[in-house]
Amino acid sequence: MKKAVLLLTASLALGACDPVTVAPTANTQGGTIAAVDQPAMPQGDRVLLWGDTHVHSINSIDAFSSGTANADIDSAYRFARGMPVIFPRTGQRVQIDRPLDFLVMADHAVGLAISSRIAAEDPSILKYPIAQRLREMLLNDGGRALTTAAMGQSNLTDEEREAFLRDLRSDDVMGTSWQGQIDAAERHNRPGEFTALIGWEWTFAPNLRNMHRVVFTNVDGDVASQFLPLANYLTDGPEDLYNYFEQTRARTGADFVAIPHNSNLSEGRMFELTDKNGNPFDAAYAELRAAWEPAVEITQYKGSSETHPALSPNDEFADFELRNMLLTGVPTDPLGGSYVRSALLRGLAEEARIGVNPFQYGIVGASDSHTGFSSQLEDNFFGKLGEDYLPADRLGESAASIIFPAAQMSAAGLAGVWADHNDRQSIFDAFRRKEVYGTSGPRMRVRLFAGYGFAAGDADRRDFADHGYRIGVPMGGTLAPGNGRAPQLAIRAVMDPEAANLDRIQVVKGWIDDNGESQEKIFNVAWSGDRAMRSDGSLPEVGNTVDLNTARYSNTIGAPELATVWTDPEFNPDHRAFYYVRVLEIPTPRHHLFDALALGIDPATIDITPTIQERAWSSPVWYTP
Amino acid sequence: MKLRSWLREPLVHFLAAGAALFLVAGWIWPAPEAGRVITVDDAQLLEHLQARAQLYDEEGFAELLANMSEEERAQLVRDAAVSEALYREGQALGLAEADPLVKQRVIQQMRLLLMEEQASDVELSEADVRSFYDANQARYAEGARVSFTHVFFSKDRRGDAAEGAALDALAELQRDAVPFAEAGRHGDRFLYQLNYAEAAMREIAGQFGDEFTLALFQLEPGDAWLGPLESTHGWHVIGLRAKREPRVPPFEEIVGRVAEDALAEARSARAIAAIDRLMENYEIRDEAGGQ
Repeated sequence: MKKAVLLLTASLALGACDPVTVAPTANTQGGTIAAVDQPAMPQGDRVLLWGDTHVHSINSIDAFSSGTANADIDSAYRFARGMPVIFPRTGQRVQIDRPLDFLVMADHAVGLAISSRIAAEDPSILKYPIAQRLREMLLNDGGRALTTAAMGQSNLTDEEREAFLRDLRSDDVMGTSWQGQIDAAERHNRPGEFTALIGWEWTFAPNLRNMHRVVFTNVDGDVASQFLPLANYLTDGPEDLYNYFEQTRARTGADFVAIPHNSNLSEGRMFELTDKNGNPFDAAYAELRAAWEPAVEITQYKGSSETHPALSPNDEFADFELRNMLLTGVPTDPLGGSYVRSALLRGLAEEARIGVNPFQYGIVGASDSHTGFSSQLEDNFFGKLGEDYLPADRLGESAASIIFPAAQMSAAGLAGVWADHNDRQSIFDAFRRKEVYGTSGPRMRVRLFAGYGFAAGDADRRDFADHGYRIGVPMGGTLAPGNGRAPQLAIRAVMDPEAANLDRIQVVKGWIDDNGESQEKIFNVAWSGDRAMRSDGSLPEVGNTVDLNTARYSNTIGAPELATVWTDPEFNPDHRAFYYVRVLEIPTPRHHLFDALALGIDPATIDITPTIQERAWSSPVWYTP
Repeated sequence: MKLRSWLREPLVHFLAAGAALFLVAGWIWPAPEAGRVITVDDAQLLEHLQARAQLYDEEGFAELLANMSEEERAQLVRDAAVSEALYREGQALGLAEADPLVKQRVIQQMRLLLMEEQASDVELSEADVRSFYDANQARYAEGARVSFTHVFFSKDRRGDAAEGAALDALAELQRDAVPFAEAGRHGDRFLYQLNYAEAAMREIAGQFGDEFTLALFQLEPGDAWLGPLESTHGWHVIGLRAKREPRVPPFEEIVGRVAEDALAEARSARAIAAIDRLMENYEIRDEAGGQ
C-alpha cells in the first residue's frame, strides 16, 4: 500500500498534467441535494496535534551508551520535523513517515549532556580534571565506560567519584548543559507548524522502582534560562518536584507539567497511597499532585501501564504489551500501584475519603526513544536503543545482549492533543485540561464528549464537536450531576488513514460502589461488521488478516470509522465514577515478525504473539455526585 | 595563553603520543617497500555490502557482486578499503580493547574523531549558503499540492445510488452556482475533512485512495464544480480552489534549513577530505587484480 503511494507520487511528479475537465451532465432536474444546516462555527473547532513528549538524545547518559549508536539533539528535532537524518548506528538515511506537530526532548537531568560534551571536547567541561579523566576512559575503554561512570560511578576511584559529584553536578556544568537544551529547542520551535517544548526527565527510582516523570514547561527559552532542571539526586520523592515547581513558578513565571511513566516498572510504588514519609495523603497533598500531574503515560516502548490481567480478569484485552518488572528486568507481582486504571480507581476512593482526587490523570502515549528518533511504526521500528536496530541484533543467535531488547517491545506511544493552536502555551493548556489521549503508535482520531442531552443521531452530526462542546464536556472534563439522568458519551473514532481499520470502541467504566469497593466494567459500544453482541456483552472477534509468511494484512475487515452515542445502562447517581474510551484496531503484524522473516526464523519459534491490536485510550471523564 | 590552552588539549596529547608511537614503530618494523597494503577479497566485499544494506542475503549480494561493472567494483573495493584503513588506524590507537562488537565501533569512533577535529570551526557566509542552495535545488523540491472542498455521497449509505446522486448534485450545484464555501450544506458527512488546504498527494491518497488522487491532481482549479470522482468511500463532487505545481521554494523562504544543510555538508566535506588524506597513506589492492 505504502509502496503504491510512493510510486504514484513519483509517476505524477514526472508526468506533466493533462487537464481533464469533467463537464456537468444534462440531467439538471430534481432537488436531490437537500441542503442541511450549516455548522454554527465550522472554523471554531480545536485541532488535533500529534506529538511525542518523551524522546532522549545522546545528551542522556544512558542514550550515550557506545557514543556512536544514537542521535544528537538536532537530529532528533529534525527527524520529528520530517526531515531526513542520518541514523548514527548504521550511517543510513532515515525519515519519519509523517512529521510530528510537537516534541519534548526529555533528556535526563541527571548527568545532562556530560558524556556528549566530553566526547565533543567541550572546553567548558574539560576544564575539570575529572572530565579529562573521563575523556581518557572514553578513548581507552569506549563509550560504555563513560555511561557506567555517569550512572553509578562504579568504575571510578573514591577520589574520582568525589570529584565527579562535586564538579560534574555543579551548577556551572548543569547550567551550560541546560542552555544547550534550550538553544536546541529554540532552533527548532516554529509556532503554528512545529512546537519544541522545553523539558527534561526527572529520573527518580528508589531501589530501582521506576517513579520517573517527564517534565515540560510552557515558557520560551528566555524564561527557561532562569532556572535549572531539577535532577533526581536533589530529591526524596515527587513532592520535592512539586515544591520546586511552586517555587520556580513564583520566581520566574514558568509553569510546569509532570507526566509519570512506566508505572509498570515501579512494583506498586508509582501510585502508592502514601507520601515520601509514609503518611497517608491529605487534601493538600492530593491537590498538589493533581495540579502538577495532569496526565500519565499509559504506554511506551517499555510496556503498557493500563492494567494487568491479574488486576482486570474480565478485560479480555488487558494482556497488551505487558512488562511487569523492575528497571533491571527482574519480574515483580502485578500490583495496583503499578497501573493507570487502578490509579484512577484509587483516586475515586481517595476523593471519597479526603475530598480531593490525587490521581485525576489524563492519558497520553509516548515513545521513550533513546535513539533520538520517535519511531512508531511496527514495520520500521528503530528500537529503544540503536544498539539493537538490525534484525540480527534482535533475534537469533547473534542477538545483542541489551537491557531493553527491542524484540520485547512494540513501536509504541504517541499523544493526540486537541489544542487551539500549535504553540507552546496552547499545547500546555490542552495537557492542563486533559484534552489529550494516547495511542500505541497509529494516529487514529478519537473524540469524546460526555453530557446529558445527546440524541441518538448526534454521532453522525457534521457539527459533532461544536455540538459536543455546547452541551457536554470533552475528554478530561468532569460531569456534574444531571438530576439523576444517566451520563451519555458521544464518541467518534476514525482510523489512521495510513494504518489499519478499527475493530471496536469500548467504554471502560470505574466506580466506587455502596460498600466503598472499587469496581470496573468494560462495555463494547460500537463495532465493525454485523457481529451480534452476546448476552454477556462480549463480541465475536473481528478476525485476523495477517499473513505470517509475508507480514501483510488487509483492511478487508474492520471499519474506517466508528461512532455512537452511548448511555450508561447501569448508572447510579450516588456512585463516583470515571469513563474512558478504548479504541481497538484490527490485528496487524508486530515488528518482530518482520525481523523474523528477514532472518528466515519461523515466527512460531518465538514466544511472542506475532500480531498486535494497536489501540487508543482517551482521557477519562469523571462523574462526581 | 593561546599556545598553553592548545597544549592542554587532550587530543593534542593523544595525537602526539600516537605520532611518537608511529615513529618508534617505524624504526623497529620498517614498512614494506610498497607502503601499507589492504587486500580486499570477495568475502570481505560481501560482508561490506550486507553491512551497508542491512540485508542479510548472501546469494543475492554474491550475484550483485559478480555482475558489477569494473567501476562499481573499484568503488566498492575502495569503500571497503576505507573501512579497513579506518579500522587499522583506530586499532593502532588501541580503541578496540574494551568492546566485543569491536570492528564497527572502532571505525565509527575513528570517523568521529576525524570529524570532530575537522568540524569544530566551520563557518559559512551567506554567499556560501546561497551557492549551496543553487547547487542542491532538487533536495528542496516539493510535490504538487491542492486546496479543495467536496460534496460527498457515501457508498455505505447509498450503495449503487451514490454515483447517480453525485451526478445529480454536480448538475444542481453548477446550475445554482453554489459557492464552494457552502459545500458543507450538501451531501453526506465525510469521515475526514470537508476542506483541504495545500494538501500533498500522500495525505490525499491515504484518505481517499490512489485512483481518486490521480484523478484529482489532473483537474484544473476554477470556480466550476468538477467530478464526480470515486474514492474508496464513495463519490465526490469537487470544488478545486487551487493547485500548486511541483516547485522549489525560493531561497528566502527556506534559508534557515538551507544554512543547516550547508553547514552539515561543509563539515562532512572536511571529514571526507580528512579521510582522503588518510587514505593517501594506503595503497588499495583488489585481490582479483584490479587497482
